[in-house]
Amino acid sequence: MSGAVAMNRGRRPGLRLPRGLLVMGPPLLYLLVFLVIPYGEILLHSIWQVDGYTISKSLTAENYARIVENPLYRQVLWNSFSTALLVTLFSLLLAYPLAFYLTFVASRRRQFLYFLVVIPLLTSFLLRAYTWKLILGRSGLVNSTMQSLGLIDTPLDLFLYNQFSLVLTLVYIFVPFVALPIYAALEKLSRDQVEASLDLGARPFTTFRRVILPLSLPGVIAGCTFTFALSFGDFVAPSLLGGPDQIMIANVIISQFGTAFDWPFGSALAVVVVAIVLAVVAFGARIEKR
Amino acid sequence: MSAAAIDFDAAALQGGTVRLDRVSKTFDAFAAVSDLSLDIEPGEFLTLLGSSGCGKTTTLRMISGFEMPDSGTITIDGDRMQGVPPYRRPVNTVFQSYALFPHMSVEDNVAYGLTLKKMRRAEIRRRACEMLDRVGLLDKAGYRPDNLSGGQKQRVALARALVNEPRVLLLDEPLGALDAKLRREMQLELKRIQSSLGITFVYVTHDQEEALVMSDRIAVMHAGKIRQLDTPRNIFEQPSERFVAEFVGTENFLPVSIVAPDAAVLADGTRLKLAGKPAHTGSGVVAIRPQRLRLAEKGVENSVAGRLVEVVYIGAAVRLIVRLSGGETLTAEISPENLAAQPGPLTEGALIGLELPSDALLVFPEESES
Repeated sequence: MSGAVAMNRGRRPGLRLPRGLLVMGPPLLYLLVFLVIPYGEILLHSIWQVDGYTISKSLTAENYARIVENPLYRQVLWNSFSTALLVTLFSLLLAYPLAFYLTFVASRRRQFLYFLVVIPLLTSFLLRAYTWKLILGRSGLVNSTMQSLGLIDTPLDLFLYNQFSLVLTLVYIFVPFVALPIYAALEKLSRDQVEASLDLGARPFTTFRRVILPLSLPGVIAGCTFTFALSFGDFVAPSLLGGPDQIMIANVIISQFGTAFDWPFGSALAVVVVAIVLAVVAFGARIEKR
Repeated sequence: MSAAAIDFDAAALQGGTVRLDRVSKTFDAFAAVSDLSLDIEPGEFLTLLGSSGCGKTTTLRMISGFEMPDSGTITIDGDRMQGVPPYRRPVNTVFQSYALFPHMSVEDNVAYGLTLKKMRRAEIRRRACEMLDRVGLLDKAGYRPDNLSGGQKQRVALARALVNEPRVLLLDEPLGALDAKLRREMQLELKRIQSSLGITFVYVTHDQEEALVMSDRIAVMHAGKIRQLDTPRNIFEQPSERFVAEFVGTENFLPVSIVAPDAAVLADGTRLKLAGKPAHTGSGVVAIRPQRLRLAEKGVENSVAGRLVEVVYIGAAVRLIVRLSGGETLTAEISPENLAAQPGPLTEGALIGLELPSDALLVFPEESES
């Protein structure tokens, strides 16, 4: 349709819009506004520097040098990396059986259970993170239950503000993100393919390893890269539920744009985060290709 | 597992026997198969023929082990299959959807069953290629199934099952997704493969022509039961009951009263001479195929008169819909030779005579169920 309109217009003098531009225009505009400009800004800021109370546009590599040289930032990056890795791993361990159950076992309860998996996605991220603070806190569900059972005399602090509470919360948040793409992949697999494998003499576990798992791998990779990227850059969960040792890179970046007023350094950290996430996504894409 | 199923070097393969003894299967109060008994001979091509929901696929799935019968026993080569999972049964299945593994090459698909057995890699490769050669797809060994045509996928599915040298091959409407020309070719090819390998084939279809072309015996199924088990010729020419006759293409049924072993009277009083088979007298139906009706002069024996309602040219013949004076309609397919012998205008509304040759008439007692 738009092509035909463009052709008619193209014949009128003075209005010679190339057809390609009409089709490509909107997506290009989208890319420009939401990708090129913001990321370009960050990239530019990362090679500028702070001069007193203003940002001076003189070029420098100083920001990046600081990240590499200061062990503190390397530590924080490692924190984020290991947390994201743990979150991805545990989310996958929970989400795969969940998706498997939904696809092959649930039958009639499937719609209802699917709804239950999706519904947390409709509530606020902050709220869901906060819920765990209530559950794990000094007067939270875990402590009060254990106290009333007489297992402990005084509330324990060991559930909250550590890597355990941080990873637990992020896993809780990201399980649906992993389960849904796996479910989509498993659903495409036909019952006949599973039965064909059994029929040809493969035991159930062999069938899983050689037919079901390889065919659901695209879903696994999609869910895992998603979860890794999002938890790597998360700042809500560490600030609500992490302890001083669980500061993650996003928290540091926020402080650079806030109290520290060092936008260039914050931008350099952000570029490093984007680079790491892109590397992980590329790695996932490579596995999927094979 | 019998020894023969493992012994791959057996020069001449022999098909297995399958015995179903009073087998029943119910799904949520729906009796898919009820009290079915069937002996399948070694090396025979047996077809389960019936419309959807008649229990033919359920029967097949109980032999392959994907459904367990509620009651009754299934034995393959004398071994009871109760509690034996699909992966331990000496049978293989060709699925209607082909069910090829999209993440494996054609060769790996075919080799799949062999890789699950203790066999040298070179031997697996040799056998897979040999089987691909047999179905004419050796040049496609490295392809992904998605890049094959429907007919080629079908051959891969067949090769993947046959390479395991099963005692019995189960085929669930394997030609259902192919176009008519290819289907006819594959019917003959399947029959050829079956007779050269000597494997017992159990074939499920709703297509009567397919069943007639390929089978040694046909079991016509309806409502979970076998209604007639016989050779294709007998099923076609001597259906045991009205349902079977209808299923294999007899369209005309006329209520009669049978007055003698060789005579019946139509509702309008026309007397029909029968070939003399029915032993009973009383009310019944006579049946005749559209192709066996002939145009006839008035007064010819076994002829009825009626008004032409519709004339349809169908290529090899002309189809006439004729309404008899009693209100029943007959469908006749008249050959060009017969038309030429009986000149006269075939216009709608014309009065014509149709002969019902007595050797073409089938007689059934009146069924209580309609």
